[in-house]
Amino acid sequence: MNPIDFNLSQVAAMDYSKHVVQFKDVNGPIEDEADVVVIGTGAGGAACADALVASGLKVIAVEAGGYYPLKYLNQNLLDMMSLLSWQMGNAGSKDGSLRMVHGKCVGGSTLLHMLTMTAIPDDVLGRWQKKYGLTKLNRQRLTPIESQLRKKMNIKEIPAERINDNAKRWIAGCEKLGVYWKANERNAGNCIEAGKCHTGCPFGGKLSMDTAIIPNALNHGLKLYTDCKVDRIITSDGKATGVAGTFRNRTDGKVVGTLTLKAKKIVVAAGTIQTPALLLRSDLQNKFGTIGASLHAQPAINILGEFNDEIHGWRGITNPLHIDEWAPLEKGGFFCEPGLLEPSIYGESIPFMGAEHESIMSRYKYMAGGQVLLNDDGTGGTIGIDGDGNPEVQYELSENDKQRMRVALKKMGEILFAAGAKAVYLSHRIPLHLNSVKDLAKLDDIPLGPNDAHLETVHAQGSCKMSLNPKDGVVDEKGELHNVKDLYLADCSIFPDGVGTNTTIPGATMGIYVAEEVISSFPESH
Amino acid sequence: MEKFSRKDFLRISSSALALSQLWSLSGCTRQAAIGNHLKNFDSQDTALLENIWRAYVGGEAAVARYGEKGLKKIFQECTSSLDGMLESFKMDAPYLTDDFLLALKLIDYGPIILGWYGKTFGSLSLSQQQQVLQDWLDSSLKPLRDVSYGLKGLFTLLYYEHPQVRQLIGFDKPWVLRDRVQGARQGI
Repeated sequence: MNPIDFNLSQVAAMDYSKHVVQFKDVNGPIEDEADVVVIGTGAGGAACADALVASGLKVIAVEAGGYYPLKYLNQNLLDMMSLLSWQMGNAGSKDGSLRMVHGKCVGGSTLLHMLTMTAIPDDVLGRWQKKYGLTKLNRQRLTPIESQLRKKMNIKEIPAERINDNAKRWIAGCEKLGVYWKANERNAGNCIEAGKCHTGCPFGGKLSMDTAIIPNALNHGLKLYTDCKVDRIITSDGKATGVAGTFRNRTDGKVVGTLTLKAKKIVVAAGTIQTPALLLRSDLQNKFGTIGASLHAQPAINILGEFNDEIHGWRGITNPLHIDEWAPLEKGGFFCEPGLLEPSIYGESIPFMGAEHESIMSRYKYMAGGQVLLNDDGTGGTIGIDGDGNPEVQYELSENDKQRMRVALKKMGEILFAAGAKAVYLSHRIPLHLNSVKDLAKLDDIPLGPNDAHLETVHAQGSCKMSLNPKDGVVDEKGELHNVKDLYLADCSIFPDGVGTNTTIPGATMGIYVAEEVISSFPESH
Repeated sequence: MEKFSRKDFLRISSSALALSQLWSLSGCTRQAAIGNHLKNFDSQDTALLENIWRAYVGGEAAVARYGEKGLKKIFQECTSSLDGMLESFKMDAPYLTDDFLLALKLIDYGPIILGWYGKTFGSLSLSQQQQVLQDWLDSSLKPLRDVSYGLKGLFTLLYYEHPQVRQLIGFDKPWVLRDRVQGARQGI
């Protein structure tokens, strides 16, 4: 049986009531215990829990959101954002200048990703070893983990014949200018090219963690509590000993019960935004104040090119390639993901008002689109908590980031014009008319302060960095907190700086890497 | 450093004062149903919402495309989506619902409070309404810019999410299965 059919049939046949405790099963306090508790079931958490269970440990996973098998997903952006993400996809920085979409469901943000599967690039791994001394993060250790993920998630390169017309425009521009591009590898299942990867595919077209990894882990003994937000980590004498959480009803948000878990080890994999918030509301900030002290948001700006002929750029596979020419930091540290999503995504972000706005959007089928992503330097963002213990993000591009983002926008504009575009539009407050390569000079001093550009991210990382020295980060090379024993982090929050690519595989790789460290820390070898 | 003149200071402080009055007196503290299927808006609010939508997405141009009746129906359905969105916010981040309702009042009374026009937003002509919204987007006052930028995103997102608008644009991805989500809230 091929892996897609295996995964999907496993998901369909699963008797969830045996393995999953949801809000509707809860009426009062619940107590339980395990060898390891994993908080969060996204890329890092799911991969970590799966590896831990496979070693024979008794593992409990806790997820703030619900478990939504395929039959419950639809294609409406608002329905899906409400069901699958924090704050209906509107979470972000306090001033609203950076939208940070992140998943709140079993599978986490992997239900919202665009299936772009890239491993941690070699130049990034080299930098992490050289600059930060993190020598355990090496190819010898990580390549087998990535191979394991490739197999489980059916990751394969997109064949040339399935590259869509939107991407072909970008390729034409790249070829003319001699710019490097690469077809993506992706974790596709039965993809029917519905173009709804970013809101949970209702057709099983995506092998996200809820489909590719979690069912297997459940079959091997993972116990999963859903609809339960962990309120705090319980510690005693500098060691983590358990967690306390609250179950809420999905329909009205009312509390239906509490959860208290005891465990020998706790792994937090709640994602770059929620992980530091949980540590902070558990009063676990270290004396150097490094939890949430930095944030690599990898912010993105939308770009559209208008052509003379109809493209219908939304048809076909949405994100089939990467323009990586400038991805290494020494070359600029930015990249582009061509992809034309549904009109609402661009309609909300392009400038212009009234008739002009309506007129541009009415020509949507003549557009090629994409996102320009910046590997930001991490100095402009922090994550704290508000009075209720929820994440409070402050973010602003640094001067260095602003300058590199301007260069990035110009480079991508040049590619679109080289491909034959007659106009280029940006998701920026100022309604710029860019009608030729010469007009791109207007971007030289374009303001990029808060709420100037429409910034968004689904790749936040580096809020609880890995470091050898406690004053430089939050966790050591094993993923364990410098200041709390038996408490590990296993998601993108522990990247020492920006990974400079999509984060699903890097996050899942760190999940398994940390799981291996946890397993080896048990006296009896599992 | 942004310019912040004495005039700006007077405007923002008088608006804060007026808004705090509005907050205590009117819809911002209201959470109960208001006699129709909408949970957060009364008929005055829905008229205001329609005006804002017209300003953002085209006014006459949109009327020519959908007809006055058709456009009104689209706006009504967008309002219904917005209402559902505010209800959803209440579970994760109740302050977002309150913030939105407060921002709505700011738009309605802003042209008076900020001293640009002697009328509420709804009483201005379409071009004046567009000018107000554009001025706020370009304001040197960051809070005003933050609010107006967020609102524009929300309004235009809901509008272009409407099936009829997508259809006219030519967006032809499959569009089915809307009812599936109903069961998801009940648990598997």
